[in-house]
Amino acid sequence: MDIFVSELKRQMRAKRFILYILIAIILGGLWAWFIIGGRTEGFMMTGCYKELKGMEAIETAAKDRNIYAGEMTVDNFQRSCEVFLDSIKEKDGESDIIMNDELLKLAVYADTLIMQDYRLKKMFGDDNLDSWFPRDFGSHFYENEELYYQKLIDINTKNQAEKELALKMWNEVEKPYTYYGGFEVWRDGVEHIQIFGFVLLIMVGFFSSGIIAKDKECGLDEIISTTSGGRRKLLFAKLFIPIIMGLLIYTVGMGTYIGILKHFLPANALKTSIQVCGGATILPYSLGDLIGKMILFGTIGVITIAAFTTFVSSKANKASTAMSIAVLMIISGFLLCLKGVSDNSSIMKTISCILPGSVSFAGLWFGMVQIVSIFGKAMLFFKFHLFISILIFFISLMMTSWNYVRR
Amino acid sequence: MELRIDKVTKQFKDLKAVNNVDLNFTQGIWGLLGPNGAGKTTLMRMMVGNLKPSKGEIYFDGHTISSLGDKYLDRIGYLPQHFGYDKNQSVEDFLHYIGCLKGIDKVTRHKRIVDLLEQFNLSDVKHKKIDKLSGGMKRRVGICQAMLNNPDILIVDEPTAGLDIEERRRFRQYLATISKEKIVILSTHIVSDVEFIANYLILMESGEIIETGESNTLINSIDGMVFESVVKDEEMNILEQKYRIVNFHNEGDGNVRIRYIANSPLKNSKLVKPNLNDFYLSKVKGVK
Repeated sequence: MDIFVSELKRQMRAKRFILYILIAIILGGLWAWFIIGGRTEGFMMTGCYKELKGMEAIETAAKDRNIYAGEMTVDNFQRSCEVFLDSIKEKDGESDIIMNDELLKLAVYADTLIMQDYRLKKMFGDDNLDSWFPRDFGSHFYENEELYYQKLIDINTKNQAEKELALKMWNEVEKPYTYYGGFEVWRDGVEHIQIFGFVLLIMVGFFSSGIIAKDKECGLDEIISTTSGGRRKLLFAKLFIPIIMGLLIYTVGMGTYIGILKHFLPANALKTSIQVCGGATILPYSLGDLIGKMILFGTIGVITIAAFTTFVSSKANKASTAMSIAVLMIISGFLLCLKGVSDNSSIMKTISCILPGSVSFAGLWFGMVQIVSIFGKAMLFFKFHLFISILIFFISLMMTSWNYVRR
Repeated sequence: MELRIDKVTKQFKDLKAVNNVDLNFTQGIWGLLGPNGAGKTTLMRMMVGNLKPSKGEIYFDGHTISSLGDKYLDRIGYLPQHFGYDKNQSVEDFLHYIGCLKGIDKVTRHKRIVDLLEQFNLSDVKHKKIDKLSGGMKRRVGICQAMLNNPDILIVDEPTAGLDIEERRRFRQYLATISKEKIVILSTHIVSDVEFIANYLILMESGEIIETGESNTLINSIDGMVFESVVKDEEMNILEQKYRIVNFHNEGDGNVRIRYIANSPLKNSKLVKPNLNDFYLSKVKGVK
């Protein structure tokens, strides 16, 4: 314990510790300000709320949209369908939407219908993308959802096990969907958890890269290894200080970010079903569940990158080498996850899984139908990614231990 | 107390850094002399367990140091050639950190640090960051950390490198003071560092031991072979081919006073008493 405290004091000396924590807090604050302060609201480029920005825009739009908030009933969908179609004025072959109070209140419904119409046409090869949906379209909203998701599952599953799992997930999705005003800002906030997490991961990589390599670089390691306690007794501290510091950086940074969002944004918007938030997904989660999962992925990502960078640090003779490798891993993980999703490429997705820290971006596997089969057993891709990351975490700890203690 | 190096070889790929070395260290100060690249640091790193010999064994009181493990490490103090420290740590914090790694309990550690800081004139700078200290002070901090566990064997590698003359003198004095009842092994390529304090000398070159023994005996072995003479400047080139010139001084008017080693001296030469420098230069082939 004495050694652990001594090493902790050395690694987390006041100035360095405060600097890391301050950077995490400032970044968290700026990120949240960027999400909230820069927010504008609108609907189909009609210019509604165009004078408003930031909290004023969020609150005004949420107030309008909360009139029909809660369970998204078929009646409301049908009503929004009619109100929306009535607000369209054809002029010189072009459609103009004339905004009115009722449409503002039903904007979320109308938006969801438009998106559903577009997806169905794309899915079933209807080229007539410019035409509007029929007048009774809203009353068939959940039937159409069923139609779309069944087809989506058929296309994106490779075997019966995957199909069964996908259907099970889809059937667990609560219908009617739910929404509360302000969810759009939360949705953006949730997306940014991954980008902000990426920055925090790099900070953790920076801290962890020097934990052993710096001792070697300055020659202290030569003295440490000739003491009776030496590397063996330092091992525990060397393994866990980066993890503690990583968790601290992440908790403080992400805590500041989420804390500010929670303070300013409507809390009940977190009950919104993620199916309403834009992208198609078979997962039965609300926005609040999504945030919880993203933060869990971020936390696992942080401890994985801390453990992996410590391993690199035990191999490298220079902290800068360890730092470069850690940063390269984080950037590659991020880019491969993005590429894997955009190309729906199994190879890219699998490679991205084995890159340490990439689980922080596993939120990308929430869209569409992301399922993988291992020895005939189907598994949600983000769970597979999580499993691989935990494996990498333990392997990194073991390899560091072996590498650091052996003479 | 005995530290025995038994036919130790260290091979790095194609390079034999230490070749079949046999040594037997007993109490006293041992000067390990040799030019840069002689293998001194490699030998010392094997003695402290930082490197494993490719062949041979190192024994402490009859047991191999690898089998003794921590028991052996508890009895050694080591100051490497490049003394490494955390540049953000103060002298006191650094010593506590190393003391902690050496397994010294808090009370003993505290007392020992106070004593050592006093002994090495570092009490006034104990709260200063090591990085802010002069070269000499840093070396003293280095020797303090090596002395924390009051070791039986103290191994210091090139401790005076980069120090000025006064600091080197003081450092030698410190070593002489702490050497009682210990094996002190001091490596250097600066002959004057060990000339007056070493009881025993080891000359090393190209990974091999070329001479070892008591300092006086070794120096006396070339008694009657060291001369001084005044020669013409233009004769220098020819003389350098013929004799081992260990020193020269320009006397003006085209004359040079030389100190050289020879079996048969030049005319008008004066026999002088040999010193360690003469002995070293007479034996080390790489220095000609």
